[in-house]
Amino acid sequence: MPGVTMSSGGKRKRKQKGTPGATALPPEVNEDDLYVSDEDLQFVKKHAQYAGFMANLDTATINKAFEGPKKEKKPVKKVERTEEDIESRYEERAERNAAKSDENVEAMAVDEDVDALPVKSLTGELRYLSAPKKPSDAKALLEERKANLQKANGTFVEPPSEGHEGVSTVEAQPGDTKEKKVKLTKQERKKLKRQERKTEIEEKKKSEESAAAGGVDQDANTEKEEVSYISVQQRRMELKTHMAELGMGLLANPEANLGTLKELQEMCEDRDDSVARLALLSSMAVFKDILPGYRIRLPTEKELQMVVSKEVRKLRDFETALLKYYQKYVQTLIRAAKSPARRLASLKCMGALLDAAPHFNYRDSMLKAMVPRMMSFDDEISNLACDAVKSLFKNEAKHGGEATVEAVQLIAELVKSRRYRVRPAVVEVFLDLSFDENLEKTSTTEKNAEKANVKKSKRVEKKEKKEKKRELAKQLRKEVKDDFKEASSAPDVILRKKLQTQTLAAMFETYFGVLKSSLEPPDEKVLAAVSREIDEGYDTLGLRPLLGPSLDGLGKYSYLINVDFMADLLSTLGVAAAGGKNAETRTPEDMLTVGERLQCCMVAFKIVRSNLDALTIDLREFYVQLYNLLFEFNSVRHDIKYSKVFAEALEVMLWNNRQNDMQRAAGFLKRLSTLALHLAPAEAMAALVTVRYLLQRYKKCRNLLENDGGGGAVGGNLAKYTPDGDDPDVSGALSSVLWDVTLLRRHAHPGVVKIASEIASMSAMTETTMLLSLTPSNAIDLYSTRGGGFRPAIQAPAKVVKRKAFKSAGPMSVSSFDDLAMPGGRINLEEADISSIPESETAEIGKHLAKEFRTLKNFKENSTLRKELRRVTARLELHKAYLASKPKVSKVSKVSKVDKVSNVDKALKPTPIISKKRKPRK
Amino acid sequence: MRPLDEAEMTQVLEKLHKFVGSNLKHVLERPSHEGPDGKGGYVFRLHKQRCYYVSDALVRRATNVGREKLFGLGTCLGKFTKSGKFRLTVTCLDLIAAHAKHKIWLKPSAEMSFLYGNHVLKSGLGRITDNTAQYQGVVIFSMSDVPLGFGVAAKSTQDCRKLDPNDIVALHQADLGEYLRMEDEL
Repeated sequence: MPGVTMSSGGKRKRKQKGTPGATALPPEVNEDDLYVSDEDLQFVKKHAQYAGFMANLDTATINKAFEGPKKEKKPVKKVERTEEDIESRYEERAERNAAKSDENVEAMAVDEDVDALPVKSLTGELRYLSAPKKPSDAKALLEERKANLQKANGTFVEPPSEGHEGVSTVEAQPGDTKEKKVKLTKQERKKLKRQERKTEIEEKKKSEESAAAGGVDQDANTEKEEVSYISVQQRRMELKTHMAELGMGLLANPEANLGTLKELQEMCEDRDDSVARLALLSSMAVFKDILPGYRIRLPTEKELQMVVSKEVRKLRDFETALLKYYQKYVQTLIRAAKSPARRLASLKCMGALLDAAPHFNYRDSMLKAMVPRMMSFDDEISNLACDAVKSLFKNEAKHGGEATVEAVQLIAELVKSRRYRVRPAVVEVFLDLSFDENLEKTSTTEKNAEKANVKKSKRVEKKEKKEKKRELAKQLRKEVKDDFKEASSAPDVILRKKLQTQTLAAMFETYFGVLKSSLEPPDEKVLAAVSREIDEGYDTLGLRPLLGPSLDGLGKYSYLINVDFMADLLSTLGVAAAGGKNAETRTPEDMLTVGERLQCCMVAFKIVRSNLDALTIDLREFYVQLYNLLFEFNSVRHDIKYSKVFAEALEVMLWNNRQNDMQRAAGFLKRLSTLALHLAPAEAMAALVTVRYLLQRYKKCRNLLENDGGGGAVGGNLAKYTPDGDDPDVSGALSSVLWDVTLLRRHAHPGVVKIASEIASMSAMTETTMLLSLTPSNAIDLYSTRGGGFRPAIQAPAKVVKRKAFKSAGPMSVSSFDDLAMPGGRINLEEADISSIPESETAEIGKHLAKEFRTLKNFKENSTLRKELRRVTARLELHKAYLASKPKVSKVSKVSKVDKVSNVDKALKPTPIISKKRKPRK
Repeated sequence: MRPLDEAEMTQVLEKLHKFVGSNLKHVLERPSHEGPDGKGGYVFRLHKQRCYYVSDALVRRATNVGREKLFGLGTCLGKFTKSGKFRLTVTCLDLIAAHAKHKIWLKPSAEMSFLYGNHVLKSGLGRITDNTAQYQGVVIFSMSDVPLGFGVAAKSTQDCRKLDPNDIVALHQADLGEYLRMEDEL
């Protein structure tokens, strides 16, 4: 019965055909089964009666079930749905059968049945998940587990799951691909796999296209969209797991699995944004780990020709491939950064890569993409970019400073091209730069050493020849030693110094540019041109967005500014502090704000201070500016940062500088105290603390506290105070009086009152009593009420506590001896003892003690009286002796007689008596 | 005693301007509190080839003294030389010190040398006002802000940075030591 045999064989065949697709039977089924052996034929013939049922099989339905998709070359959607139902139903049945026959598959088949629940689509239609989907997932899991096991063993074979997955994805798609697949199953297994991967990709593209098309005209392809919706969700899930697998494989063994990067990269360019984002991020994670710690240099032609060992070749190949993939990836990233949907992910990737591997190739192209994003008006993007650049600056060790130079130069160019009108964050990143001062120092010491050498050699010439020779030899030896030393370590230092100089040059160029551009009133034409390029958000920048951060930077890096630039810089700052060029003709809005001008003054001082070794300069101009700015300063409408600038200016210019002359100090004293009258409490405190400090340091200025106008000698030639003067030096403040302080003593704020009264009482005070370590910044921090509440907190009214009369102390206070000087502490001590003794006894003890003390008092009185008596008698004795030595004068004796008559009281004042006696004689 | 003519006036003011700059206005408009009404200002008067800076009230009173008998009045700013040039003397120091724009402070070690009539060297330079130009008139102070004399800046502030310790920073014109050294000339 050839027909029967054929049918049985055909059934098997069909089953096998169906299995990889429909039920996903394990691929282990041999191809050999396809051909029917003689033994088989015999077997069938023997048991012909048992095989008879096969003849009755409904081949039509089976065929339809299996080959249905084949017939639909151009699938109509509605048919497809029923098709699917039939398919799934059939599959269930087939699986049940398979479960009976094949135990291995059984468990899986059951799983499938359980998992393959119908899904409700968005439109509310019940839809059976194509059953093979799940098994493929389950299998993927299984494969993953397997792969993990293999990984644990150390060798990783490319997962065969791909084939399955490919099949499954193909299976998920209805229509023409299925047909293809069916054709392909006839071919060899390996070929199939390869092909299927291709079809998979095609499939993806198709689905993407459909998704895209669906997005464009929904009305036309609503149904199609539904299909694509489901498939997109699934696809995402699948690709996610796939990515994870690839990533794991790559991390486990990058050399072997480098090829899989290609797949990842394809996914990076996926039409589906979310897939692409995921792929970008996962490739970033992979690259972060597998990039080597050095920069890859591709071998030159010559090197390629040279014979190398196997290992070297292997490494070379790996590096070349890696570099190629990385290049492609970076290109993808840069491209992705342009599309709005993927921008964030790609920037994240670039940031992470710049952070993790700044030394590696293609850093510059990433930087070029990154830096312009710093001035984006989207906070998130700009933060990402800024953080990436900051991390470059902070981790200079990773790339040896080259990336820093590139980044700084790029930023400088960018800022310049935007005419210094970009987000402040762009320039603020410079504050994270770190410069090695020692590099500069080493160079200077070297120069010094050279100078010394020159001097030495000059001296040597004068000496005799022998000595000269000896010295030269010695010098030569030393030089050789030095050269050796330099050769071993110098190149690095020289290179680093060069890089640092470049960085500094670019940075300061930006700063100076900002400063200069802020001097002039904004040119409307230029602004319009720039603002056309940039979009919304531009107006929020303000007039001089970069001035603040630039001044901060200048202050911070002031010690690195070349002395040659200082003059120019100081004069520019001077103009800026005065409010910009042609300040008189400009409107107040155009002019630099008070805060900015204060900052300018401060920076000037910082610059001068950090270059103190060059020369001590008295920055009179800036004092004058500060003096005038104090009047314009008004803290009420500004935030705390503004007040902090004020405080810092006071600290930098008046506290830390020891170089004020007295007139100037007096000018500031007077103006600050006047200012304190109308400032908010916190700022008033800052001003008053400064006043106190100045008074402490310039003792002569305490004349201001005396109630004596005109200043006296200290006032000098300036006899009259001009409160509205421009120059503190000639304000004549020394001839005024700090009457403001008296008013401040009635201030509402307790802190102000306290310090004002302290200042007022200062003239009589000693230095130590007023040493309160409060600085202007401290004062702002402590007393600012911007955070709400009162500072210091208002004290609750004190409760009136009735004092209980201390009964046991009663007899003590009544007793007569309490008026005797007795230290209070002692009484308390005794009270404790006494209270334990009964009252009658205490009274008696009291009497006794009183007696005792009275006698003691008497004794004391007695002794003092005796002493006086002794002294008086001694004087009298002396007087008598004197009288005896001058016997003749009768007058004197008369007087002396009178004296003798006068009693001891008069003798108490012996000196006037003697003088009286002497006077009449003369 | 007579008011200065125009040529003399410009000479005097030019000299003063070198030291006090725009503060010259303050010098000229300085109010005086002398005299019965306590109002009035200061004027320049020439007497015996010397220029004096005197308050109005004092000028009026001085008219009572004969020209021969009058030795001097007010503050002597300087004198006109035989060739007609004007020179500031040390007696004007207090006036220009109070209004000086550019100052140099001397280290204590260099004070004595300056008071003996020497120039100010870089080594003795304690501090200098920023933006001092070359040949700008400067008033010289001790570190405790006592005016010691005046002179002319030999170098600008910028150039001062690079000078050797022995180079001259300011040229001597007058110092307090002259009160002893040239007592009879003053």
